Amino acid sequence: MNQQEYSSGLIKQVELVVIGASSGGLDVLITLLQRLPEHYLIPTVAVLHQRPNRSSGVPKMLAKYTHMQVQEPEDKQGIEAGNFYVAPPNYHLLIDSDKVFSLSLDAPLNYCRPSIDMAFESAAEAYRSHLVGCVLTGANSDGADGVRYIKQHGGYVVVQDPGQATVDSMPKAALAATQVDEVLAIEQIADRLAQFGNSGKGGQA
Amino acid sequence: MAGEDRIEQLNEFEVEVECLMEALYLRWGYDFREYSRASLRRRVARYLSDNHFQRLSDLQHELVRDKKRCVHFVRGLTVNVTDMFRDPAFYRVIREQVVPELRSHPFIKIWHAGCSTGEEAYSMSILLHEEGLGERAVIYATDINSQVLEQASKGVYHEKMLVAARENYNETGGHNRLDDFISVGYERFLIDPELKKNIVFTQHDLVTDQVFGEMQMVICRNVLIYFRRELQTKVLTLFHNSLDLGGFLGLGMKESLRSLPNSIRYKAIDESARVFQRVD
Repeated sequence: MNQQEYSSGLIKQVELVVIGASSGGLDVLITLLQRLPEHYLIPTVAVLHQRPNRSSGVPKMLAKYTHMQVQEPEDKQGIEAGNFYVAPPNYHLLIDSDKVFSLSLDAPLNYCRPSIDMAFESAAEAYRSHLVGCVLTGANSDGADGVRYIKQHGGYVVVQDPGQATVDSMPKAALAATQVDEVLAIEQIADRLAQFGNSGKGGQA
Repeated sequence: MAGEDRIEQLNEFEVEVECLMEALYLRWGYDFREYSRASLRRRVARYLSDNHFQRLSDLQHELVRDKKRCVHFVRGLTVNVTDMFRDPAFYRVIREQVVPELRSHPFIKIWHAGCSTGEEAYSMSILLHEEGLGERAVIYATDINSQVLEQASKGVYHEKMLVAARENYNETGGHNRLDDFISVGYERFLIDPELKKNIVFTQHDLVTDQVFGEMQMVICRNVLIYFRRELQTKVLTLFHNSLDLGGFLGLGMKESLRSLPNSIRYKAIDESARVFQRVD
């Protein structure tokens, strides 16, 4: 694959990838991480709906499958290359315009905290056209408003092929919300992200 | 030019939010200018739609003229979430590692900043009474929002919160039962009035108000997350200046001391429970 295959014209350098997933999300995130090449360094944020446990074992589990540093960000932590961030359970994860994480205990949005929509929307405001948003498997419509917002701000949106998703409601809702850039299987999503990594300064490290 | 960059970065709504925050400060002294924008903007947008305003400028027009509307709006901007013994691990560390040190003080002053509806201030009062320190402790529980303080001073909560409250209490290593400190009835539970005697509820704005002096402990959980780093630095300095040497600072589970000025040092009593001690 090469740059010409991107569906919607010129992509600016990707500075952040945000991923939203719900039911079945852990498995696809593992597939994604396993397939990302070692030189993939674009900071990546996964918002995964989880039970509001006090501590989550997700980062530890995902860390087994990747060279990236997997962590739950703290409030006002800066976003850095080479890190894979997982939203902490029971907080909303937002991104401020100075590119630091900001947590919030605002009420759940559509029963979700963390809310994918809130994370995506704040990321879109902070990163504009340098943002890639991905919606993966899930049993609700969280993320649909978020991807529309990302498109409005010039970002790039990839949705997991509903036919491949464990639960297809979330990808379908995203597809209904806006004209997305690509609909891909999870393996191809990993390849596309790797390609974004190659074309940016992150990939040359 | 820096100015040109900035204009490019903000859309119409974002610019209007900036103007509104400036207006509220100039008109009524409410200072949200250093609040984290990511969550603030969302709360403003939600207030607009919940209250059927078409445009932010219409809301601003009302807010600078109508103080009552403004108080209502400010309430919508602040987040008030809390539970009895929220994050039991935190209270366990207080019980096991902080209380033994507090025992050496003849008089104990604790500042609970951002106490919201008061559940955690009462939790601390229960813990101190259990540990035999109730008689010599005072808890100053403050919040920016006068309405939540009114609720807090009543000490009456809905019964639906009780299951979580009992579970949390048990996880803190308590020697009794939560029910020994509350009475339950009419779908409510009421904090034992004896536990209220050493709590002073009072209004305080961390952004614009001053130091509370000579505290043995400052607790401020899940308030700093709504502030930008610069304001966090200012407020953490305020806490530092309010604490006695050797005093303790307790933060929310995802909050850190990363915004602390370099000149100030704390020792971690328990890093994961976010309990720290002032060492200089």
